[in-house]
Amino acid sequence: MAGSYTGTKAQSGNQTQVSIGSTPTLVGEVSDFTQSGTQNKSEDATNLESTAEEFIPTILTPGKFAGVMNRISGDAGQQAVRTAFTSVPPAIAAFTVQLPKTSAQTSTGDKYTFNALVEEFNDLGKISPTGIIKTQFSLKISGPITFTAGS
Amino acid sequence: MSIEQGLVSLIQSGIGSLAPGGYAATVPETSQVTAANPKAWTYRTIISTPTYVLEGEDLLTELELQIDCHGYTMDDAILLAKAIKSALRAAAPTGGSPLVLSDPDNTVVQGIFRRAPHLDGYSDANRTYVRTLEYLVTYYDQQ
Repeated sequence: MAGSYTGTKAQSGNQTQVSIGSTPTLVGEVSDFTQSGTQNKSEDATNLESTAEEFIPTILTPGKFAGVMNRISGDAGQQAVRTAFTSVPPAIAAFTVQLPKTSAQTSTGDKYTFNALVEEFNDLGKISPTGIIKTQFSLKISGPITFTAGS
Repeated sequence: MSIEQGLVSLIQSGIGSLAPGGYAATVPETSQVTAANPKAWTYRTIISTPTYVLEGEDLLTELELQIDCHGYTMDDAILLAKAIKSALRAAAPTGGSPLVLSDPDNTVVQGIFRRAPHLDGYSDANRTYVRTLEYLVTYYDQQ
């Protein structure tokens, strides 16, 4: 028999920190950070003798992150993302996503680290008189995403 | 009270001796609009929208403000509304520099924008004709 439900253990994204670099520098004022496309790829192995489609697993595609941040002049983290984007040849940079602690964690929250190419960096986004200038960026992940459980 | 204090001072200096005002919500008993004192203005805040980023609440805030322009006649209310619109248009940040208000916090305003509402009516409580204006003020809330 399943244990009785005592309330949700879900957590909010508030207080999540997105950082860049091997010595992580906080990327300031990120307002949205969305992961997509992380999936295990496969190759179709269906043949004339198959009784249904067949496939063999090949390799994990680590996917992308798309982010939006308030454009902050002089923010060291935002500057580092811009530098990674504009470097010639384009550089792969280290990123860390540090989640806040859950109610069950006392020391640190869960952490994800990965290397990524800054694939897009729309510095000025959309400028309007009544809106905040927001920078949109996207990261193409290279290699595995390393997960470190919080405690 | 600081952003409100700064905006009251800004408007009052813009309209000069045309009308007393900057009263919160209603015209006080001691300053009633009469034929001899035919104009007064009041304000109330409607919505304050903070900006949130992943790290938490940002200081940048959007404040929606209602300004009621009271007149002994409708003409008085309209003239006062015109003067307040003109004062705020002239005071809005220009030339790439933010506006620093004269309140104790020296609140920094990024923009002052008039919103669409432009409502005429009659206030039974104050026995005045009223033209209501709405503004969006973008500022850094020092709290």
